[in-house]
Amino acid sequence: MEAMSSFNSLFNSMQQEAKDIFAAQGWPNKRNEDWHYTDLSARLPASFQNQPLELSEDVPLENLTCGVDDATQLTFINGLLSDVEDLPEGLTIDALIAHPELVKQSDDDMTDPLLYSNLAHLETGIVIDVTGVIDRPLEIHFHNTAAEEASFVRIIFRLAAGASLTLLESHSGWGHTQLVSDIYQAEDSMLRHLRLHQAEDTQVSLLLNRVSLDAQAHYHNVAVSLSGGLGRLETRVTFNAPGSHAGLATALLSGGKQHIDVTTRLNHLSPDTTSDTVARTILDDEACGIFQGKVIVHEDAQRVEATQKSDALMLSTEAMMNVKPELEIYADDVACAHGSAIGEIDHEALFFLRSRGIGETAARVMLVEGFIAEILGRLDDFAAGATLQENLSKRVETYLKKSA
Amino acid sequence: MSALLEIKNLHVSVGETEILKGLNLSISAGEVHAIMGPNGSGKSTLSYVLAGRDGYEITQGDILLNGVSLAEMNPEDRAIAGLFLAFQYPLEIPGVTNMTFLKTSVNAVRRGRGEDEMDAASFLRFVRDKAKALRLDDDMLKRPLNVGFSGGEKKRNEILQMSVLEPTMAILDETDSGLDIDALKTVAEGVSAMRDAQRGMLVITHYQRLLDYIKPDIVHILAGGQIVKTGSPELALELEKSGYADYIGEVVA
Amino acid sequence: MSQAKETIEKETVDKVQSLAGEKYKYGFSTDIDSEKAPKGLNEDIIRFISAKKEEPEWLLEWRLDAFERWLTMSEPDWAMVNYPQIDYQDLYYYSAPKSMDDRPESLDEVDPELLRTYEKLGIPLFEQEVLAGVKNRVAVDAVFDSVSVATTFKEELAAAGVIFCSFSEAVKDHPDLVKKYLGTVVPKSDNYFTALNSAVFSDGSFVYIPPNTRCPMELSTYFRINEPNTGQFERTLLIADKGSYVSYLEGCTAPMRDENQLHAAVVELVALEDAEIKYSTVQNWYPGDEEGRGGIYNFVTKRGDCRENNAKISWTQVETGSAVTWKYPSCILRGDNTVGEFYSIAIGNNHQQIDSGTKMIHLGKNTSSRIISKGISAGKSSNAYRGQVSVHRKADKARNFTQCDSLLIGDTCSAHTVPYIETKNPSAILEHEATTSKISDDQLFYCQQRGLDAEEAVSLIVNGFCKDVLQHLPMEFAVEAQKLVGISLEGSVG
Repeated sequence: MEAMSSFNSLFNSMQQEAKDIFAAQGWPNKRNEDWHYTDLSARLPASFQNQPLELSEDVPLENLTCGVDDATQLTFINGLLSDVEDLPEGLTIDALIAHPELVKQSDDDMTDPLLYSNLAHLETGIVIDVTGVIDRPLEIHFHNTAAEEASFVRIIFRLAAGASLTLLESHSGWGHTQLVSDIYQAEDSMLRHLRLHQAEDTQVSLLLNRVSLDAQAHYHNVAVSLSGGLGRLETRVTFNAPGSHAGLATALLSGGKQHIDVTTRLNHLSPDTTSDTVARTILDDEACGIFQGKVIVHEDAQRVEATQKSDALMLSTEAMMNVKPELEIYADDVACAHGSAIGEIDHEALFFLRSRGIGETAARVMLVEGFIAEILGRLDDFAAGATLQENLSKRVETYLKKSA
Repeated sequence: MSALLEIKNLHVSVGETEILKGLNLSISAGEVHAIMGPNGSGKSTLSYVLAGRDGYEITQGDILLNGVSLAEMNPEDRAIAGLFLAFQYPLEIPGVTNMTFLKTSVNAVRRGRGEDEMDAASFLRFVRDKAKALRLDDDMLKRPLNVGFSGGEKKRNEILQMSVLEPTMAILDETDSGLDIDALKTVAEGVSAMRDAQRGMLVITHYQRLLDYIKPDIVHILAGGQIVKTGSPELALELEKSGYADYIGEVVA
Repeated sequence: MSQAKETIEKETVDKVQSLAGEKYKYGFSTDIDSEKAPKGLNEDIIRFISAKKEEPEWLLEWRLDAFERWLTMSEPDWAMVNYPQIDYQDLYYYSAPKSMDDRPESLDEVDPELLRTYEKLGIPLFEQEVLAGVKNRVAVDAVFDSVSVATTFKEELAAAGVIFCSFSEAVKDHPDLVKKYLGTVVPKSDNYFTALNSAVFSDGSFVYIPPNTRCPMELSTYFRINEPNTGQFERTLLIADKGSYVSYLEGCTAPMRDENQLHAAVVELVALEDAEIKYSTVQNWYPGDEEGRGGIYNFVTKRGDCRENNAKISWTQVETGSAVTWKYPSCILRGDNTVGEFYSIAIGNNHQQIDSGTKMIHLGKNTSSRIISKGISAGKSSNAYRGQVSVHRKADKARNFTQCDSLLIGDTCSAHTVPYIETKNPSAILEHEATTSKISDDQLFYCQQRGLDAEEAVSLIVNGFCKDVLQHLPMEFAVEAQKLVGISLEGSVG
């Protein structure tokens, strides 16, 4: 009991520190290089009421799920964990408050706005331990039921040596969602992580993913954003030991006045590590898309291979795209490359398809689907990958029919 | 009975430049015509304007297929009407598999022609048979359209599209370019297999060698945006010997 | 790692080490009496400089306004460079050879010591030397510390209507042109260093090419810093009127000194309708020694404005010198159908730090830009490409192609790539490619198998790596640049 309360007091003091920093620093503005294209100070309120709403009885969860039958479900409604099913063997969940040392470990950098703002307002924190090879996917839904709701969640994943998991994460609803996921992967572990962002057009999602990889650990991320208001999908990976690999694939389909920012930072600390990043952005209406990808290869991290590709397709005259693909290289025996291409639909390809009898709208849809096919194709290796692809293709089609 | 394809006094401009300057051509069902011409004579312009590509403006004249004007039709409606263009440079389309493309295309055309769409199973059988004849293996049907295909594979894929779309009027634009002799034979066999009494073909080429394998009924020479000479297949052989120099001069003068 | 490979790598490193620092052959200084303004920066110093140059009142006001703005600004800190805080009050802002006080009328009146300096540098100030030796003639404006000492071929150029003179002369002789264009491409307060330059600039070159004139020869300015503790703040203004063409070359050297010296220049180019400007730089300021002592801080703002339709501006730079380089020659593609180009080789060795690149701002319709950047890092150097391609809402059918490649030689250097690609117009086609690698072992092996020794192989490969840029330099400079890059052409020609 005493031990518990000392944990609590450590946690409370850390949270107080975060609150003080948030009060003093607030949200970053565009003078902060990491937020150059997404000025949060101009877009977000300086403070939140943060009174959790009463949980409504019937949240239409089927709209949120990825539609996989045998998935283990966790649901956060308005920032509170509402539902824990039977967990498969090898997967356990604990409250973060019992592990303040983990928060301390993950909040080593209190100058990071996504970290201090999350901790300052934190409502729910959990620790998920994965100790074995889990066949059933784990589905985690985040849903806010009202525009005035702001929810702040932190999840720490720990994958033991040799463990593997398919994680399906989805975001929907209204208000403001801020999630920090810290993922620690021990050697030979494998995490396949789908992140689906399909929220209402006023919704704010600030999603930070931090991944730490030991030897031979593999992290595969597929992120699909179909709707929402303001979104920052940020992934940072640290490669701590040889053989670790990360593959990041993102498909952004934006319309309306959406502002979606995909930021990746790949920190190759160790030699013999690899990463590949692919981002495909489709912009309609007045949407603004951002891709900031940074690869850092540290001193002595020889034989690193890192590739980065970002392509954007502009469907409207009012849309806007900003790309900043950075390489920061301190080792010489490396093969790093990035490529970026921005343009509208290829008129030659469109003519080719139409000359084969395919109508203009159908031809456009086909080209756009082709443009993101590689991203969805990366779900092949996921548990229930075929179902996921089918489910996502339908949603993509809905988006495209609206746009085409 | 009017001709299958009738091109009347066709003037076509690209931007400010007039490329075709009063071209006349008439192809009846069952005939194979060849158009030969030097670089810059307007061969590709002709194929693109027939298929309805943007940026090729018909300033005068008309194109009739079965008596119906194509001039104002969009490209997909021309395909439905029975016109097919085998591209000189087939496009690569990442992310769209060849199979998906073929199926979408065939069903769009069938729908447009008032025919029933094909279900997945019968389409698969249908396309596999056709592919086999062109020595295209299954793997190529699963790959993204033309992505990573060799020059020969791309051209065979064009002929595959022609054979599944069953056009009444096929235009082959420099189908021989970039092919080695074996690939050329395979492609020519595929084309020849499609010759029949209902179908017209227009083979556009710079060199005579394709015509060794696809024997035309009539050969035209295109220079300076006009047909400057029409004759029997021997005309092509003659041209092979003497070159285009005479005809280029003819137009300028 | 195989022994052969180690040998190759060591030789590679040695080879590159011999390129800069150690063998800086322009490191001598000239012993000459100079007249300096007192140390430090304040309104009086600015009035002193302005008075020295007998400037009109409007230009003094312009300077004072810039100074006022500068006082409110702070030094930019976003570049990937580190250097100790500069004490702007501990510098001389004006230094001129005493003998230049009376504006010598001809070279005969110029101090022989100065002439010897240029002779040692290989810069031809006597027109007959040029005529005798080289097929292509180059007119030179030689700037020594704060003043222009000589400008060659002025008469012949004048006959063609071309104005080529020092900035100070232009202020006196062509005040209307100066007033019309000065500061219209690079505003005074564009950044910290432009504000500083606008306040204290001492001299530089002025060029005006009249309409429909092809400048009859290459123009060039040769910058030399000599005095210790002196900043050099020159200003170049080049106007190509409608339908004209000019190729302009710029070279820079400085003595080897243990302290750092500041160079903050501004270059403004204006290309009117159908005009074309080709601007080439071989920047070989003293880079400091192997320990990182000394060297020039090169904080330069260069910008070209394709102000009217069909104008073209092309920047080519070979950056081998300076301890710290902060430089982004840019193009504003304002007119329709305008073209901007940036070709760059940046070589860093020892402790050199380079943060360089370009901006291509697409405003007009059918504008196109091309960026080819080759960075080579060796020793303990750091080399960053920083570039921006921005397509504005009305810039229909803009095109950009960017290729930036970095080559790392040795494991103590670093290479960075920081591109910003922004579009608000869907008809833009923007392509960007970047790579970072070392010289491939396979390439080396291939060359060696064909009989080249490791050094030749490296030369060949590095030369090939830079070729896309070198070929854009005028012939006279290409030779010098190739020497600077430290690569013999043996084996790749003939």
